[in-house]
Amino acid sequence: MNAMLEAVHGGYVRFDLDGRDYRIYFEEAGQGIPLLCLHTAGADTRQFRGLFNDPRITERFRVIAFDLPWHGKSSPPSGWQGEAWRLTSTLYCDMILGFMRALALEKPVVMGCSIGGRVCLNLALDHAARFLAIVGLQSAASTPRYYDPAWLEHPEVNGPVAGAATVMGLMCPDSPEAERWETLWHYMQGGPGVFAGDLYFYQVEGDFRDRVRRIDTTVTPLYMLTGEYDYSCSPQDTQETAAQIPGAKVRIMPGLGHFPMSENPQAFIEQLLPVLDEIEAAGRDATHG
Amino acid sequence: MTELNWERFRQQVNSDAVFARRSAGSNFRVLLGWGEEQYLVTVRDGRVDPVESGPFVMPQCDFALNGSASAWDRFAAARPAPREQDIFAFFRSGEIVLGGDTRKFYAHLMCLKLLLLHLRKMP
Repeated sequence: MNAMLEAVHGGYVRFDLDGRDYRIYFEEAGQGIPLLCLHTAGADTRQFRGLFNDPRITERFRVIAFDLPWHGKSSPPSGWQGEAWRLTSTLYCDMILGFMRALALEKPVVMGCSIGGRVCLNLALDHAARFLAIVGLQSAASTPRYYDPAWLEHPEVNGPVAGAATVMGLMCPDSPEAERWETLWHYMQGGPGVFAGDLYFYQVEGDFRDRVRRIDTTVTPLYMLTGEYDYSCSPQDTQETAAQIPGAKVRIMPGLGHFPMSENPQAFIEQLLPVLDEIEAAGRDATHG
Repeated sequence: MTELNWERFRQQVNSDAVFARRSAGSNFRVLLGWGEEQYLVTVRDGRVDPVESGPFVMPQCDFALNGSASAWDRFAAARPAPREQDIFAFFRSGEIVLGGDTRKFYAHLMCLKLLLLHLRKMP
């Protein structure tokens, strides 16, 4: 038998937000510059398993990811049974900043995908100075509503399986089969109504179009990386957003879809490494300059 | 799309172990409007019945996917172009439109998508 203990380890942190106690699960690996990773809607930290296990990253970066409340191994807050999960811009930003405070993370790089890519724009506008750099994956100011996620909460629909089916085509068909199905498994394990609750932010409340132009990348650099097979946040969507943000750096990733870090970790990391190199070098220059 | 051998398609889908496992218990009838052509695909207890070809007069189906022949041909290409690999991509572009019972569509979406993937595996 061959066995390999991964370098990643997990833990729980508890903190209050708006008078509610949250029990948040997180995973981390590596050392160096904190790299705070934000998962997609309806998913969890396992999407970043490739990054946690790549020494080219973990030798220089402390990779950290947390499950939003209601997601993965993070609990919903007490009283959840009478509530519907609805992610909002304010709650999302507060949760990220609360997690950073709880773990005493100083000037991390933040990298989020999809809803995480969207909230990166919020962070770039309202909290840029708290970050060394901001990396939005599949990031754009808005997305059109071409399907109604309310059906994922219908009592006669298996929401997590239908959610997985909804997103399965967002990946590049050439991404490794095992990684694509691992990505779908995360969706199939989602809590009832959670994916749809995230999409409230993604499709409705989190529309950022009226604020994009106010982002100032001289405070903190903004990178936007988008897989070419993504039709939810298409390359054009990203490019149209970036065109309104002077200094935003766009990279369109060939052969990748909406879940780059999870559907094909190796291909994604090849795209990410030059970005991390640049961020690390800029951080070093700032320290020594 | 008249060249497509639907009987071979049916056999191919029904011999797919992943389809069989993930579609167990599925029952629905979907009308594919492929430009001017119509095809009625019935899934019964997770297996595909012989596909019926139109034209139909008021066909009995649970839901329909209607699109241009061009849209379906591009979706069914062995190697679809980026952002043409899924019916939801064509929902966004408006080139394929869902009609009928949306609840049933979502209830059987995994089965439907696995089924449609076989279009691009046909010789």
